[in-house]
Amino acid sequence: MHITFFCRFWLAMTPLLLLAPALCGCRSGEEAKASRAVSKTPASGIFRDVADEAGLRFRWGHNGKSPLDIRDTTGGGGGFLDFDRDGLLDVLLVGDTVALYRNRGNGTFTDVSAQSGLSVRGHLMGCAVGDFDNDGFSDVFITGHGVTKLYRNTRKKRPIFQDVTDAAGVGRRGPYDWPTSAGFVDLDADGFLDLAVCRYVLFTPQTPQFCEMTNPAGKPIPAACPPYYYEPQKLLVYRNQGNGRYEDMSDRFPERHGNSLGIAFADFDDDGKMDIYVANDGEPGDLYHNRGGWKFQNLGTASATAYNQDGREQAGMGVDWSDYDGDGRLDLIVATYLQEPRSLYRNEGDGLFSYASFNALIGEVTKTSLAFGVVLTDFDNDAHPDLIFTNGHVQSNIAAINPSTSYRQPMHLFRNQGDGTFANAANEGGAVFQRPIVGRGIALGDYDNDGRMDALVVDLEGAPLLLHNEDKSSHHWLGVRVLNKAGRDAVGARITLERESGGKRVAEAQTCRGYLSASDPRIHFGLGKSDRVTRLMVRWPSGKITAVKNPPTDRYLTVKEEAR
Amino acid sequence: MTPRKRLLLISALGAAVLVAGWFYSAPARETHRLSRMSTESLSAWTRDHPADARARRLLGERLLQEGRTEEALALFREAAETDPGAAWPLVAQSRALLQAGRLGEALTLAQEVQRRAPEDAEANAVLGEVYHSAGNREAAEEAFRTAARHDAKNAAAHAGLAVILADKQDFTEARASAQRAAELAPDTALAYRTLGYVEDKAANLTEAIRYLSLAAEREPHRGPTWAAFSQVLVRAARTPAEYKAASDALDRTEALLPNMAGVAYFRGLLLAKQHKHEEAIAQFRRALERNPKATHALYNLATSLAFAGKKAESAAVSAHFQRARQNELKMTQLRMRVAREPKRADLWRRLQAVAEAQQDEATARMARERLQALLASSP
Repeated sequence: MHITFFCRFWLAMTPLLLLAPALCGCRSGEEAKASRAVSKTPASGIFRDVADEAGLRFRWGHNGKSPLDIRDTTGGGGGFLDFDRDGLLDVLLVGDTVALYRNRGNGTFTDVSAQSGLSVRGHLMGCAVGDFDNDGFSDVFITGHGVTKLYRNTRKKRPIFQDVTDAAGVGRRGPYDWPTSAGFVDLDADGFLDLAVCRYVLFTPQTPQFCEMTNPAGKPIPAACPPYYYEPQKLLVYRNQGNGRYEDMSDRFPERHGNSLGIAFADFDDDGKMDIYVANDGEPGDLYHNRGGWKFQNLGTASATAYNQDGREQAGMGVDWSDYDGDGRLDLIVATYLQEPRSLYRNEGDGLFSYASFNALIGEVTKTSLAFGVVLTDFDNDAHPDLIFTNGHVQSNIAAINPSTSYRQPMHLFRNQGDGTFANAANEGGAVFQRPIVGRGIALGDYDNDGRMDALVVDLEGAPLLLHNEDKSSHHWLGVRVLNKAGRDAVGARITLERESGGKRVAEAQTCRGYLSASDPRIHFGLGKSDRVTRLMVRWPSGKITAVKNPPTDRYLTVKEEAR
Repeated sequence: MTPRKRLLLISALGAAVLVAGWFYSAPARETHRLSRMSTESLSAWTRDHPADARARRLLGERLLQEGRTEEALALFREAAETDPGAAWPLVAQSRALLQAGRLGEALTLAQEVQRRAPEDAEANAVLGEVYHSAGNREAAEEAFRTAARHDAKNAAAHAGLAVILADKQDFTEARASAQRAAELAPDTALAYRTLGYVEDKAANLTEAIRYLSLAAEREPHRGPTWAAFSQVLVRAARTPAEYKAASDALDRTEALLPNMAGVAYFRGLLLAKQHKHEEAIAQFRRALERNPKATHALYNLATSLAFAGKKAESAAVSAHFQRARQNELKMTQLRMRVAREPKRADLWRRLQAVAEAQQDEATARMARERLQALLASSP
């Protein structure tokens, strides 16, 4: 009896004795080593931020202003463009001002903002790039709160761009007009680039400036209001008349939900006509199917791309199209808010999409961040498009409201594993993927023409990030520049690439990708270990087809549309 | 050994003996003995000793674990009649009703027991659980905080708070509360259920599945535990084996909660994932029969109909969904605004109007009352 009692007693005490070191706050040497190993950030990876050494000195920020209002939270874009046609991508940055940097071809850039003519100032948002007058030189469209500016490339050294907003008829719709992402696209295949402009909400001095949030202790804290506090502003679409003027065709787009932040174009049903996806913040997304003759049908709900898996609106922000699973159909990715899975819509054909975020293994892991920018492109040239999200909360004081999250958040890099799933590759991405930023705009471009896709990222509270791709794999690649009859980048041209190893790859020339930004118009294919492409087919926006047999690889190729 | 060290050792041993003696005191020994009985023996003991509240309580909990909800409820009702002053029979009844998905009855009882015993931690905790199930997060949090204030060692209160904090995406605090609950009720279903819920909300699906499977092992007859477990399995399923595991868990949930609309919805999602759209359609329809206002089921029904090639029917359902969802969204946004700005009479007026238009009488009444109170208090 006594023995039993004492046995029980010591049995009861044993766990306490075993737990003593933990209770005392002691840590074993192994644990401490493991902790140090975890906290150590990788020294090198696929990407390295070279913005500073490249001479990009621009900065975003709010000079310590807190709280931020909704207008302060959403902006920050940039782009790659070859404004002087020297074959090197230059850099455009949009904050309170617009900065232009000319690529010197040696990994550094020269600030040419002073002679750029891009003199607009204000609460600017982002940019679109396209050659709207078919002179072969890229023009620029700038958006902002109360700002829309169209700048024509003068082809001169000073000013490089000239404001033609009024002459083109695309000026702002009042002082509180709020255009966000925008893009040039040829919607009617007439050879001239039309213009689509997302608009956000009606934010004026008379509308609520701040809303009270509460911290865990119940203390009210002022912060930016959610978008549903404001009237939605809606998408505008302009037709290029071919004479330097645009005509408003917005009423041809039914059921525009508004609160629009992101836009991307693709011929998702492969019918030869360019379609539009618009990501809306807190409203259903709009997928405009182009039926020709300026007739558009909103297939958002019918195609299952308007909502998330549970039929709930999401805070749609950045957006991109790419064939992530190699089935020859362009799929859609939408960046979303905290606690919302990033939405990957797999194109199943017949105008239908399935919600693939969870099957692709990005549904859960992305819910703990807030994404604005997104691009689907092949960073390691293994022939499978990978994913980058730029993350960062909207409220600068979010840590006081919700201590579990933070204003600055690291970007996400997901490697496409080639089987329909993605793996978190932040560690492979390099130290820059461990660094928390207030991520917003993202643009893609191979600024050093080495066949590895680089990226330009906006940190709303800091300097730009120029992500130089230093991938060490020996994968092959092919870059294609497509020029239409007028000699400008054939935005919307679709390339089908056939490899000797089998399988077709599909991609389109688009500059409007990511968020508030403009990307390299060239089409980039990773080829993996195979260096043989048997055929390359270009379907031009005009509908004509050009075939190139056995094109050389590991280089950029220019394909021109024949005049006849 | 120095005299000082010897004295310290003797004092420590003495203290340990006192603690152990207290631990193995008569009531503890008695509980331990009863808990080792089979259900039948415990049932016989309870019949022979009708005044033994401890035995009755243990038997009721055992019956609930075995899925014998009605028998457990009868036992708790008897206990309430035998000892009308005791709070625990009402608390236990309320939990049993909640477990059976009978939310309205659970709420009535939980409010009653909290009114009778406002300082009873369990009474407040169960009220919090019912409020949370009813979607009233603010009231649930208040009830859990009250419970923890009255008894800092109440595991249910900390578990409830963890759930609320996870809903609010405060995962640091949610994990701390869940750990506290796990320390107070180690290796219990409550602990694993709570940890699983927090990890699920924190997007840590692997850990959520691990914890919820442990909870389900310990509560093989508790419907809500299986509902949570099956839902994470559905979301995670990608292979035939995983589809099967998720389907089995849904079968189990359905057996325990035959009226739960969510089971049919998640079964539909699981089938749609496997491109079995005809079967998914049937499940989404079942979900809508049980809850015609389930817009998520309407949306997925429209999608599966489209995939099944029934485009016209899909368009009709889709139009219905869009109208219903727009109304639902309008109401949700107004509710969020009045929660942030409770003194805005115009917002309450709008909420009342929207609720009346949507024939949501409970919300309309609540908005009307708040508006009247606001207008009465304004100068």
